[in-house]
Amino acid sequence: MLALPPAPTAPARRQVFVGTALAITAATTLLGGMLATWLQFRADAPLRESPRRGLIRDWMPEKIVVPEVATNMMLIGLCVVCIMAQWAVYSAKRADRTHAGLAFGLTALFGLMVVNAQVFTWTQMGVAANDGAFHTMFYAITGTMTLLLVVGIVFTAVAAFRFLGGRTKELEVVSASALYWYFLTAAFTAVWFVVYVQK
Amino acid sequence: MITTGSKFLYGLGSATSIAAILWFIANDGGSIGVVSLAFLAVALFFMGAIASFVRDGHVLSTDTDAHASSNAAQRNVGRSWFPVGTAFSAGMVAIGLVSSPGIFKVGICLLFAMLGQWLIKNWSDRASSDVAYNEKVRAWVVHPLEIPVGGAIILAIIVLSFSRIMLSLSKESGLIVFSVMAALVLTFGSMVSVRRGANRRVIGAVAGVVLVALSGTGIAFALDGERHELVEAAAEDHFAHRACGEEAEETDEDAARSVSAKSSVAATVILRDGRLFAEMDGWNGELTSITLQRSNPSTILFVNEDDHEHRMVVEYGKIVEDLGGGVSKDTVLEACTSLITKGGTQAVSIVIPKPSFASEEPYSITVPGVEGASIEIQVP
Repeated sequence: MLALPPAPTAPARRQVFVGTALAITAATTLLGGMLATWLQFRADAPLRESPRRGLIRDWMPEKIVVPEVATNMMLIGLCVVCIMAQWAVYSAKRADRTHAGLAFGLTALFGLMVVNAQVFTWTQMGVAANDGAFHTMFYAITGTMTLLLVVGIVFTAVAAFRFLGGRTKELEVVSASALYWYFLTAAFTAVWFVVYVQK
Repeated sequence: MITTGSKFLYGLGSATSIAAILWFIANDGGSIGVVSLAFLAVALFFMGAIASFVRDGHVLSTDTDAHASSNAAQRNVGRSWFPVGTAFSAGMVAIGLVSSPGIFKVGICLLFAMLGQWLIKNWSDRASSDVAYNEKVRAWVVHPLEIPVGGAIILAIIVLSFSRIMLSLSKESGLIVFSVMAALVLTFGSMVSVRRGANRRVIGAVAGVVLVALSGTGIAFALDGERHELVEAAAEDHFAHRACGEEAEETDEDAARSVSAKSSVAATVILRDGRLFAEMDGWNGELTSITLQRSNPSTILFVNEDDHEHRMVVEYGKIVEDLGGGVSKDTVLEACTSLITKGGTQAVSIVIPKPSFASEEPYSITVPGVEGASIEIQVP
């Protein structure tokens, strides 16, 4: 059996951090393209008479009602997630495992709350994906956003396992996780404004 | 100080912002270009900020302590196709989700394979400081799985390609083509085996070229479609076609004309002098109505004592299948013997699923071409 010296320990090269930034860039352009298509679809829609607002663009079926409390809670929840994620970074830098663990748990919990609110929104709106262009685009955008949120929860779980599992010196993944939640909040703000507010 | 990478990204971001403004002016506020370009600009500015934050991964020349740990001082990571393969597989999964379950399944398999390979490659790269040893370690772990699976895939490609060629060529030309191909393989194999120390690379290259040519031909023939007779046969659905008519068909050639004495016969149906009747154990005389069990196999023996060739046909209802969308498919439950000559005997075994009163059509035994030859079947 050959007995060679182990490979030298690679110094931190911020691969996870820069990789996360690249993924964020890709997701930003993806969501940007989807929102641009959504806005173009709205702009191209024909006009119809509304009893309350007069002539409006007929792009969203009249019967669909957006549960605004749930969607607003999603935005507020994501703002809270950012604070929790930053708290995790703060605690991790100080090797405070208790607070870091608590912060990771709350980050994931609030993330799950946002996903739950999204599912609630879908069920309340009762939109079938194949009922028309609006319906398909609605699920495409909100579905992509939900997928990104789920990735965020998994990312947080990975960061938590690594840090709480003993890799307390590897803070990059914790910072990258927080960066990802900042991105999610910014991205959801755009989705929230275009899809849920500008009806 | 703004780093070089940041400058590039900020510049691109600025140019994209200007493009967004120009688009807005030129297209009278058209949202698709403006929003897309604005998001792209945000993404580029963000990447610029990240590049500034990590200082492009560089360290200052005066920071001598950091020189040993700088990126430039690190050993290069070995080249690997697995990240690209993983991305390709993930794309395949996404495409398969919206197009075809087959593509999705292949994508999932590829994705797991690529991720596994990537994982092992990553692990082996850190096994030691010796690159050659690391590669050997990877081979120890992966080759026991990689070589058989790779061989199976290549074999599957060869078999599939051959099958597409066989299905496309006519029977006559197929014989010639495959004889020539077999002769070529034999000649090449003989040459390799006779000449000692043949260059392995040359053999590998020739085998690779042949594999590519074979799979390419297979793909070309698959796109061209199967030969005319097979297309016709597929359209006709030979499996759904039962030779139960009066005329002789392919299935009547060389059919068995005798039945084993051990066959547990429920009833014997005899055609004699243009009359059809049945005989059953425990019943006297010629019967025109017989009783069979439900949901159990029943063997009915047909004896032809007529001068001409005849067959017996047993009809026992039909199954109505709901295909959805208001479309239904009727399948007649029918069994028949081959055409048999005078003195010949043949049996059919049937399982009748429903009692006869539950069927709209009466259950019967008939002989095509013989007027009035019919026996009623009662199933309690």
